[in-house]
Amino acid sequence: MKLSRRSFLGTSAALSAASIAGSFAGGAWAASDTVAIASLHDLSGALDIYGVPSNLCMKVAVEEINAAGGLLGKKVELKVYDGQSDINKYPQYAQKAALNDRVVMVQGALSGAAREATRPVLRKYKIPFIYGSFYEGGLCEKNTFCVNTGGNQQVVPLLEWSFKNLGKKLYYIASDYNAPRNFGIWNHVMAKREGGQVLADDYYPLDVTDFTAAIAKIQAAKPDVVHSCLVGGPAMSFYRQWAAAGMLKKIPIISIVFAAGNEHEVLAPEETDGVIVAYNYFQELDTPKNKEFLAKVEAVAGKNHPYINGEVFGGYSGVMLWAEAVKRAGSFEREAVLAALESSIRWEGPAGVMTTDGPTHNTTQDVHIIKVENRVWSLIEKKEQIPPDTYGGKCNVFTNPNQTDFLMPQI
Amino acid sequence: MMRQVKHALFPVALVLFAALGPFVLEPYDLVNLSAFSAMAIAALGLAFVWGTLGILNLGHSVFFGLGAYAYAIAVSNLGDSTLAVLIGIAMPVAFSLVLGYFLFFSRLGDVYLGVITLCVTLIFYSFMTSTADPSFHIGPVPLGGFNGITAVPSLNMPGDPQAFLSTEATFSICLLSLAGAYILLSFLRSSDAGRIMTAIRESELRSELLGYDIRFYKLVGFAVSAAIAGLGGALYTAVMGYVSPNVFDLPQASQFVLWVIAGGLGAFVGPVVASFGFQLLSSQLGANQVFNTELIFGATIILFVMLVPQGLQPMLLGLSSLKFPNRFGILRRKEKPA
Amino acid sequence: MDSFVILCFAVVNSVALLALISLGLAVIFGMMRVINFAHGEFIMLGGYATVIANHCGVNLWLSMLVVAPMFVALIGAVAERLIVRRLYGHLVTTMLATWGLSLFLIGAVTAIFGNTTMGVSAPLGNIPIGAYSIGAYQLFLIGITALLVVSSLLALHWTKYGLIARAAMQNSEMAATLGINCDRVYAVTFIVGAAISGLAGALLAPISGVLPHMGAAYVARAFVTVISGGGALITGFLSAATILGPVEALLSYFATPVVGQASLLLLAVIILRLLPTGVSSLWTGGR
Repeated sequence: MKLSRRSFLGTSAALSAASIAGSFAGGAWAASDTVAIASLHDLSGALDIYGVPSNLCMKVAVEEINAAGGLLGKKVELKVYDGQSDINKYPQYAQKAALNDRVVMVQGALSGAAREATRPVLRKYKIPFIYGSFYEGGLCEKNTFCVNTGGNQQVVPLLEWSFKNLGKKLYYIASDYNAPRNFGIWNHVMAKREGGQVLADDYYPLDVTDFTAAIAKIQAAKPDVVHSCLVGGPAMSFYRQWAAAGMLKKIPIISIVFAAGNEHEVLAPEETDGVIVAYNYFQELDTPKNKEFLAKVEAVAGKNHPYINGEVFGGYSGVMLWAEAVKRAGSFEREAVLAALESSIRWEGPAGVMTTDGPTHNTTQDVHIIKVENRVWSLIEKKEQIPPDTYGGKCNVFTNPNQTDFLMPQI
Repeated sequence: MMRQVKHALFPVALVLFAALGPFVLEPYDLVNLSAFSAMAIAALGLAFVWGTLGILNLGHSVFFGLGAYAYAIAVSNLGDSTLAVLIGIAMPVAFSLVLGYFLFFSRLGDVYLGVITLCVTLIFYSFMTSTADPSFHIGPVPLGGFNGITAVPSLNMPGDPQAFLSTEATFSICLLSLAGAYILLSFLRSSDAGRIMTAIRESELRSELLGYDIRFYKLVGFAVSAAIAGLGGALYTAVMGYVSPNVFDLPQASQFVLWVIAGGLGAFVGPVVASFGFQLLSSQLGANQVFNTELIFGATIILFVMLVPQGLQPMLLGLSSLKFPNRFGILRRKEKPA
Repeated sequence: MDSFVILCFAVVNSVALLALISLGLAVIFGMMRVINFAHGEFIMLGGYATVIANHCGVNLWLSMLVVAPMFVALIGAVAERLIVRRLYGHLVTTMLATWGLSLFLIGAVTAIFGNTTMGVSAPLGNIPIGAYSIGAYQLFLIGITALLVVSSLLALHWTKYGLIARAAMQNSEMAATLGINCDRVYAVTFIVGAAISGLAGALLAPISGVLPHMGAAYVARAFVTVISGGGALITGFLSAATILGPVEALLSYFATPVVGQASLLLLAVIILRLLPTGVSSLWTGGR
């Protein structure tokens, strides 16, 4: 029985809160000639490296929409909140956005913990939540729409490629929290599917800076490839110590998070050259649409704007997909916008064609396998139109509209 | 007589606010202030154990966090929030007795004790962040690792798990709990036991030579502070609807210390006011982008310490009664190396 | 055989790193009873000074060993003059002020340099040991840490300044009576402590991510190491590092890193329970 007592309590809590929310939902934007959306990112604190450029991407999208005459005749106003890398701020600001600023959509809450703290609040006040970060996948909730890649969309193509081209023996080293552990399960799924082997799953606390023992362990295991899911500033030490031990040239590193925190810029080229990652977007993408997009970014943030990576690009694509849905719905109402998003919105942007997927509330998109050389990324292989995983049919908001818990991949 | 009136002023103001707030404030402010009061309650616990007993507890957040987690797990398992709040108080108390026995009966003191409790809270932080695996669960509730426990039910009518309290009622309960905690601690401080605790703060040796078992009094005070912090943690989780390992981390631990020092060590009203002030400031800074939030927040703290080194309450009292020789209170004492 | 050598290296390395990040704090705390919450940010500033100086064309060794400590000493001098000096003797108030300083420095660095700065890589290449290889720079790090600790020890026990400093630390009133300007001793101590923290940051710059928030990863561990060391200035924290470091390294290797980290903290708790004023009370008699 999936619908546990707990999730039942959750929904009834939402119902009782609807009485408060009801008096506010709708109407706020009807009379005014602007409509507000919220950007909820870490603009200071340790996670600002993800939040600042992501917020910038939202700003670019909003300016583009307004320059083209706004949405349904209204100017879009971006309300910006600084989560300060403090998870406690997220429910607070989500509430502020919903109750005080009467926004029609909230985007942001990039880290898993921030997202989990924000989701229930927005569900309670019935404000659609667009999630722009790549993530472990398996979030199939009525009120949330994920526009970046889910677990299978990055890990599956990357590991398929790596098992084929780099070797069968994989060593997984990751930061110790939810998403990397979930990606770790995907490693085993893929190893089973492709006949590979996961030699070890090593999880390190987020503030570890000494990786001497970790590197010795990897050297002893002699893998063909190291899959790193190390996240955050302290973990950058791993790449430095790995290169200092002369390992970069010996064992290739693949990753689905590397560069999201601009690791390729903070670290020196001789410490990162050859690292291979998979993202839906990277700044060097050579398409006309991307040139247009980068020109707009430059117009907003100047020539020295932060690097736009696959993580923060969701800030742009999320707002644009939402705007397409608003246009199709002809309304800012939650139900209408969600229904439009569920009706396969197709949008061609800098990263190629993206199509919203109704049942899973995730997005079908291209994924690029890329390699860094001297701080510049180049394309190795493009995998076209990868659909989100359905988790054996369980990820379906039509059949499970009250589903809020995460789904896990099964080995 | 005048003194009693003066002491009653603050809780009366809180009760009035609890009663009138729902009529004048927006729902968002109500939710926010409920969360602030929950934090302020926890800060009161530290203000008591540090200000009255002189125990520098740098890891006060461990009790706050245990209360928060205990509430989240209990309410999701049991359904009824009243019992869950009580469990949220009982858990930290039980833990504080074990920890306190360990600490006080070895006559640890001073900053060394503070570091032990800080280590303890950091151990909880590392442990809780490493529980992402679904095999870590209590009843149907997964501990959830770094993401914590989400969608925690809010407060409900005692005995009826389906009757959730409104935002207004929750607000009133939080503020009344704050007033209650304040009254309880004030009474305790002015009781006989409280006077002995103050004596212990002033001189452990003298108190002991007078025949008091200082270890016992410290243990009791420690447990009381844990209970208050647990109450704060439980209410905070109920208001916010989630709990994550961050309740145990270093920034959270230092925040309580900040509020108590800023409010004035030895005072109760000051820490409460300071906790509201600093939470409000940080929440306002994040919603209105002026400049880098950390820069402004840091500069504010520095300026505050420079201008009001003895804390808010002693300064205001000093100004009102103009008793200059006594203005600096206990912070003036030079602390001797161990 | 080679795996044993590598394990020994990992253990020695972890002791050296713990000692390196704690030394500056130990000097400031041990001498002045000031808990410097901005310690991590002094490390961060040392890292930034190195990286920026190197990008401006200064030789890497020069920027690490000279520019960074001088720069952080300067910051330390300003902080001491404007903030810490006014609060001597108030342990908790200084803690609060330095916490504000730490946030302020993070904010200032972010405002000036943004949150991404191009780093420098570790020099000196690597040394193969059987099936393994280690960074030669890490060996250098161990060596220089040892040098740093030994020279602090010598400076404290064999120089006139060391004698004065120890006198001011042991009994400031008596020292003042003998004509020592204690405020000046404290100021110099704080600046020296800051310079050592800056040097630590500079030495760590090539093997860690130089970011505005890098200090946060070090401050709690440094703090725990210094306090469990107890009253004896250098020997105290050094012995604590020698006990805590290997436990963490070995358990991280043989169990999991979470266990390693938790046992470091747990061991510190046990040490303080058995020796309530730190490891060094074993030979200083609890002073």
